[in-house]
Amino acid sequence: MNDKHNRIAQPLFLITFAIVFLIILSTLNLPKGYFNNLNKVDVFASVRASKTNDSVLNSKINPLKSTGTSSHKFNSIPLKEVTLINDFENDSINQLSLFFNKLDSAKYAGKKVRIAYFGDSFIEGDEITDELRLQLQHSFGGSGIGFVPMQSAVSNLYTQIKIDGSGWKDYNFRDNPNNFPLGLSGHLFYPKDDAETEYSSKLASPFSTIKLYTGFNNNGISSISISKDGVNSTQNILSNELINETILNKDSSVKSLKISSTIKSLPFYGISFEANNGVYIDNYSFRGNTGLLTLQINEQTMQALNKYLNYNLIIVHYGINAVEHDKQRVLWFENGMNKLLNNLRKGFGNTPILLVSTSDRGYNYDGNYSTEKAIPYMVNNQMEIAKSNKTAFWNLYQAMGGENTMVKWVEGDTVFASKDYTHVNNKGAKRIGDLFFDKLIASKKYYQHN
Amino acid sequence: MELMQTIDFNKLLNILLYQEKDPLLFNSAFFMFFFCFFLIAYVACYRFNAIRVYVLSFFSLYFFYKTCGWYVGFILLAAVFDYNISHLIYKSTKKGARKTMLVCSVLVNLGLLFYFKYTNFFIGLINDFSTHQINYLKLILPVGISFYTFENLSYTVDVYKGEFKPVNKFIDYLFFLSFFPKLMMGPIVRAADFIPQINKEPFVTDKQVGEGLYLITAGIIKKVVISDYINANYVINVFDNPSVHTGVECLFAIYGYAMVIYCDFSGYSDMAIGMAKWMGFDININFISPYQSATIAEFWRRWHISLSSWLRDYIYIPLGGNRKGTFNTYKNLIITMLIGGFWHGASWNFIFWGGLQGVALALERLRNSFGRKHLIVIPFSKNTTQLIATLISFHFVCFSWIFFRCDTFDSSWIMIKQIVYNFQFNVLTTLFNSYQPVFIMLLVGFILHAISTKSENNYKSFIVKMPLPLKIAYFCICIYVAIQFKQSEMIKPVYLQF
Repeated sequence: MNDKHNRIAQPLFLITFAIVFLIILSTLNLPKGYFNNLNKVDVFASVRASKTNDSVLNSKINPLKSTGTSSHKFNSIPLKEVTLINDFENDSINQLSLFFNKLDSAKYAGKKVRIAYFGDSFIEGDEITDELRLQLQHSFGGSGIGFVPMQSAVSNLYTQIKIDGSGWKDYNFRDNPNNFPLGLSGHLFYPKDDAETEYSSKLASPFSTIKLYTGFNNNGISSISISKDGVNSTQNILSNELINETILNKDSSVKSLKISSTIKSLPFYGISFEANNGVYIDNYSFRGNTGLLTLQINEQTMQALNKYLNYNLIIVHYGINAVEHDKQRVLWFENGMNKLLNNLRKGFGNTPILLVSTSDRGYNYDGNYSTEKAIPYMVNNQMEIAKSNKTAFWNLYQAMGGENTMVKWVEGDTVFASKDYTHVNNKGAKRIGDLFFDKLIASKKYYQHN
Repeated sequence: MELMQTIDFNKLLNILLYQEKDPLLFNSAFFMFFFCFFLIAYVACYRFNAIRVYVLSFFSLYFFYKTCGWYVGFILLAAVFDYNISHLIYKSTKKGARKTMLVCSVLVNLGLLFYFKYTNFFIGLINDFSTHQINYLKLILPVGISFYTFENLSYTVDVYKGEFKPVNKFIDYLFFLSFFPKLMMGPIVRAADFIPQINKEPFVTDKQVGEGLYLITAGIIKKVVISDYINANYVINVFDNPSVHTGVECLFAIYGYAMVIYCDFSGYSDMAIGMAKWMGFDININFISPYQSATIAEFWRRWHISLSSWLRDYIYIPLGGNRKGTFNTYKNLIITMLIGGFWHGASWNFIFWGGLQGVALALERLRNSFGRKHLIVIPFSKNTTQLIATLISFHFVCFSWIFFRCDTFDSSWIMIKQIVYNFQFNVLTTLFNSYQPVFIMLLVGFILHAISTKSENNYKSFIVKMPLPLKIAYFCICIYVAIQFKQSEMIKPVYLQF
């Protein structure tokens, strides 16, 4: 080392050689095999001429183009309306139309319409479903959140209800060693010792009809403590069937309800808050669920719950957790979905099923976010699944804006989505809820007028 | 040539211009070319005193333009104003006039800073308290304004106090203010340290080349490999929506953020100081492994040193420092840190963060004076006490980062609530398994941080002693590793089960 020389040119050598090194790497096409796991270096990435049709995104995704040979008039929604709900039902009586007629009967005849909404973290916290439910209830009647579990880690996001539960052992899709018959929410709760849950209304309007869903134990009948607005009482409930419904409150107003139980053998599913008419959406979200977890719900439990809940529409909304980066097909997902739709058919009889496509999702491609390339493929595959299973299909990806919507939602002036470029925030949830409602109503008009 | 065919020359021309959403970061390919061209010009003209400063200023102003467009005018304006007013202050003999001019300079400098950085904050305040609603202004913060405003202020104040003779040439002052390595993210350079170096013919020693290389590569690794990686793959998601994450996820996001902000900020400072060394300029070090501190006072002697010493010299001491009694000392500490907090950003969160630091510094002083009076015996060995104190200080700093990082108090409280009431220890294994690379990186970060100054110096001298070809190879490898991490496949955010 010598401090007598001025090394002022050395940094220039360093940087020049580094640039030459990177330029060589950028122009070199390294043989595949050895370098599979390494990313290509390209110092010219930002000044390269953009290639045309280098991704699936440039090829037109047009789910409705291939609606097949069906002659059914409902199957041929004009192309400009791809964001409407498309029914792949082939029978002479369109199932989705039955649901739409049912909505009218709620409005004009005071009937009850119930929707089960299965999904993943995208719909958790009852944000999207809350907006959709409110809109539907505004148009077709009804009040109340519908089904809620005994406790939920995301219940702080609920706008309608505060759930304060403790002392429950939560068996669920990911923790169910004894194969208990899990509910539609993917959960089942047993009291550990003293279990209790307090439900209180966050809205000005109080609860009206309250129903409790419990399971089977050998006692045949059990008694639990309930407290309505601080007034305690004992409630006998049947436990002689797989699913038992107990009406805890009917028609009178209650602001808060507390349920306590110490019976360790009695399984609890949840509570439903509703009125005597109108539309209800039960949010059955489960984090990280690709849809395959839902296969754990057995047919008997579905049937037994449906006996009381009488669903008129089953919404199945998965996909985002099953997308594999840059992959065009995910076979385990497709097989799982076919199986799930089959199970739901068995469990819920003729109830129409609406398959909702995955939402958009951003991916960081070399420092810039754009739509994950696997997403349009996933949407297309989901449409094919709907077609082959003859269910209705809604292309949420297109409806929310298609390619790069998530990027706009995250980076725009008004922020609608989280920085993970996957989940929406409460503004985005409201937007999707409204969108869903609008498209549902537009589809209703379309089907009922054709 | 194949390469030439794929280059879009319109894009190439465009990229030379200001691009709103694309500030010129040190860790970009464009900057490498920029720096290379700069060094060519610099090496060609470094002997010629008159030209050198112009070349340096030109590249610096271009750097500023590239990052924030025609706002480059503001730095020119600030330079013209402060250059002239400092001369007027220097020449004037009347005390009153000198003072008026100083106040005028402070008002103009802070006025510009306030206009761009704080107008919307105050509009928000007024809107909160009145029925008449004022519309927010659409303002873009000129890059580096927080930094160069402080440099301007200290310069004028030093001239006023007679500690410093103002520079003779305007271009020297402009260069001091706009020197591109430190323009965007500091360190805040003092005129007294920097200006004497301007007119000396630059002489870059072997040591400076080696240390510059060490700092630049360490900075790249810290920023791109550690900070950006942990941030993009984990921290950002948790902070964006703490209510859907368990307490344990939130806690590790805070530890992660502690590493992210340190590596981001100090990495950038390191690069700036390293580049300055390559040009023959010495800028004082800005971070000295701050999380090794056993007290908050020590933390502030190791964290963003150029800012904390600025606050000490130009706010704390003028307020009276510790010379006006115990109570006033505490008051001065808290005021200084509140201002320091506000400097970081126009929101109550930053003010609260600053307040926390001030209160902690005051409490430490109180504890020290109490400890001296009452001779408290600590039942641990010196090393154990040191370790416990370090852990406590680190956790205090982490706690305060919650408020620094969260956009609103609401989300800060949600985060704290999740940790206190919804910790969910049982998801720890799942968490580690799902984000393995992130946690490995975090561990590496903390291990590197815990390394002693001695080993760091050994490594530094190892690099200094490397022959040039080895240095080049080392530089290339570091850049290559950084690129691999920059483009690495993202970890899919996992929402853990509660």
